[in-house]
Amino acid sequence: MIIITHSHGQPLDEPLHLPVPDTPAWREAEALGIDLPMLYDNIRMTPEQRIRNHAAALASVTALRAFYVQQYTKSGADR
Amino acid sequence: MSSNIPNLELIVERLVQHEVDFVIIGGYAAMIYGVSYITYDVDVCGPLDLGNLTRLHTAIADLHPHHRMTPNESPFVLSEGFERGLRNLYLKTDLGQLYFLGSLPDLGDCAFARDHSTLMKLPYGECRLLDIPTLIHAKQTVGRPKDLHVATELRAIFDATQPQ
Repeated sequence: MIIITHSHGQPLDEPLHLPVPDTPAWREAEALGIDLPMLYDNIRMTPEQRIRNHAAALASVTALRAFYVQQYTKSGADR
Repeated sequence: MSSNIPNLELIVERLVQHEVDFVIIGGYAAMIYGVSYITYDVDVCGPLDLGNLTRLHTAIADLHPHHRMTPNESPFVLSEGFERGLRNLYLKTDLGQLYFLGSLPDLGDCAFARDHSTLMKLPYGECRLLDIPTLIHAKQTVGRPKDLHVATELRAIFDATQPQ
């Protein structure tokens, strides 16, 4: 049994202890470096919350990409 | 494009509100199950018949939809006989990219996708999501490194969400 003591979005006064099934799938995910605490946080959300979080993340990534392209284009033009 | 920020949820909402027959597949479905992955498009599977295409067109007509894979990115218009021989639609809209597939590659048609889907309730209505085992299978079939990574996360999620 793997015990997760990481807590994203949980009350800070209490660490999160979630029993995670010790199955081949979890061991494989762990071996591949997948962030299991984050995965577990995701599972505990509702689909709506996941959709909302994804939309926010996508907006951030898109804005960062646009900024990078703008900067790259600008610095290229300056050369 | 009126905004550079995609809003994939609004695309799904429009499809639901206009009663388009579809099942969410691909990375967007994986994200809804909890995979920590950012996807830039919505992949759905559904019948590409005239009725469904008409509903789809009505749902996104004001979003300047155009074909992403054509050389000149021609607008998505429903001309007579458009649906004949159509297998997939790769559309770019003001809200983001929508890939409408007529079947799941190497797995089955849209009826197969519907039979292997689960119903999800959202504030604006219900829509279908490819079930986790089939989504894992689909990702493994595609087999790119990022798909295999998503399949690994999905297997872990599937394990974690099974009754003990």
